Amino acid sequence: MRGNLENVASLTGHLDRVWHVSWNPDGKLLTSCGGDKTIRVWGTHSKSNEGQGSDWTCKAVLQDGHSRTVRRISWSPCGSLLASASFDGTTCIWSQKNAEFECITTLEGHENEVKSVCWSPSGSLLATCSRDKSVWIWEVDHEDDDYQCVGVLSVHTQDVKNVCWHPHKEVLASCSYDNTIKIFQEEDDDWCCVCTLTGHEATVWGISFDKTGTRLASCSDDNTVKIWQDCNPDGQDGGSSRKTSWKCICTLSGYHTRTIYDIDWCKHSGLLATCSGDDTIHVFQENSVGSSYKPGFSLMACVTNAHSEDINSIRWNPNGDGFLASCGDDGFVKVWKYSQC
Amino acid sequence: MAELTGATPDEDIFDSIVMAEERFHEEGFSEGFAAGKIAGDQEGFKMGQVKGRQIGSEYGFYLGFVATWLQLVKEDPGLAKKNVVKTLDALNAMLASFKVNDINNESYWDDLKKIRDKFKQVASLLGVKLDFTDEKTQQPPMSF
Repeated sequence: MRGNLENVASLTGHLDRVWHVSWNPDGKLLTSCGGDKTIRVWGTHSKSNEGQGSDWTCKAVLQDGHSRTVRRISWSPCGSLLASASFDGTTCIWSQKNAEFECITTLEGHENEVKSVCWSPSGSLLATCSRDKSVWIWEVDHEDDDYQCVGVLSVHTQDVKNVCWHPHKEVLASCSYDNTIKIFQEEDDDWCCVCTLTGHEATVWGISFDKTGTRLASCSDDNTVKIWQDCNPDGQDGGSSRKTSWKCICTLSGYHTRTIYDIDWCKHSGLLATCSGDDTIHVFQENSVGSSYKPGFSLMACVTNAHSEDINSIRWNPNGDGFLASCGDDGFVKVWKYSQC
Repeated sequence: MAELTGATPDEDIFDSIVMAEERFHEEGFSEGFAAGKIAGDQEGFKMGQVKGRQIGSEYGFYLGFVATWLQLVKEDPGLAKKNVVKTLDALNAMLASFKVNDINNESYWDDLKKIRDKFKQVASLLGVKLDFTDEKTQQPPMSF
């Protein structure tokens, strides 16, 4: 292993398990949400990123938005809106003005627990998914704070765990308890499933695109990570986008000993971070040798007992300085600094 | 060969006694088969009736919903935005092309699912909290 992961902060405040962490677009604020129905906003006093190790404090607690567990949060690309998905079946949109957050819209429609929410890179679309087996796509009118449903997609046969947008195209990926990943695109004004990725032998918990969007990493209850390649990213072979074909080009197994709950592909360094029910965090890097269609990955860092219980989420700071946030059933939010040896 | 084909009548009587169990077994089977066929037909009929009733009433619910809203929008165009009416029309077209009786159609269940999805979208766009749910298919709340 040629890298090192150092714990620089452990943040307490949540009264129950912490389900998800998310950095705001400029990487200065960290948000977390959990079983205590709240969202916490964390920040440092110092203006520069240099101080991100020392003086983290809780700057805001967003409550009264949800009546049950807040499962996942997503920042709009502009950084002024925060979306939260909850087991109460709703998605709340919070507006940030100065240091104040206000719930401006509540999106309803899912029949039960909303499991994930994600803003598209342009900020004009929002995707949500639920235990009701459906994925919903909403179009956002930022001027009127208006959210209109443009698609309901009940193509998974089980609970949909997560949704994730392509880094620069309007292409959505979802993963489910039915062991599959599905890719969605808009065709003739209608959103539809254009590809189903099968290979995982159990629930797929997390998905993350690389910075180019031609690769997708997934993590699963089968204790493996899979890397998928879009073999026809420009829709060649006839020009139809239906020709989208994703193939599994790499499987990382034997690292985690229990369910891998989340994965994040750093858009700057290309490092893959995973977290698991075995209480460890792993960081992988692609080997420089090897063809793009048969890549190899090496374990760069591994922290055992990173949390004392299941680790639910992991996210790289988007400013690319190597900070990594994690959270777990132990109620902690932790910040790590990755450095190459 | 000659000895076998020329069996005596005595052997036939003997045979009918020995083989009685097998013969009654066969008779019983065919009688039971006939009775079972009738009972099965009835059971299948009942199941089909229940399922058909479910699908029929769901389909009818959507038809009524769309017809009502299209009429309302016709009378008061201010009720819904253009894109909402467009989605209503799309659902209307899907319902019109769906052959509710043709259950052996390959895409029957997929088409029905798409209609359900489109209805959810329309209901959301109209801001109507309405849902066609069958209580029997509701699962207990369990999640993690």
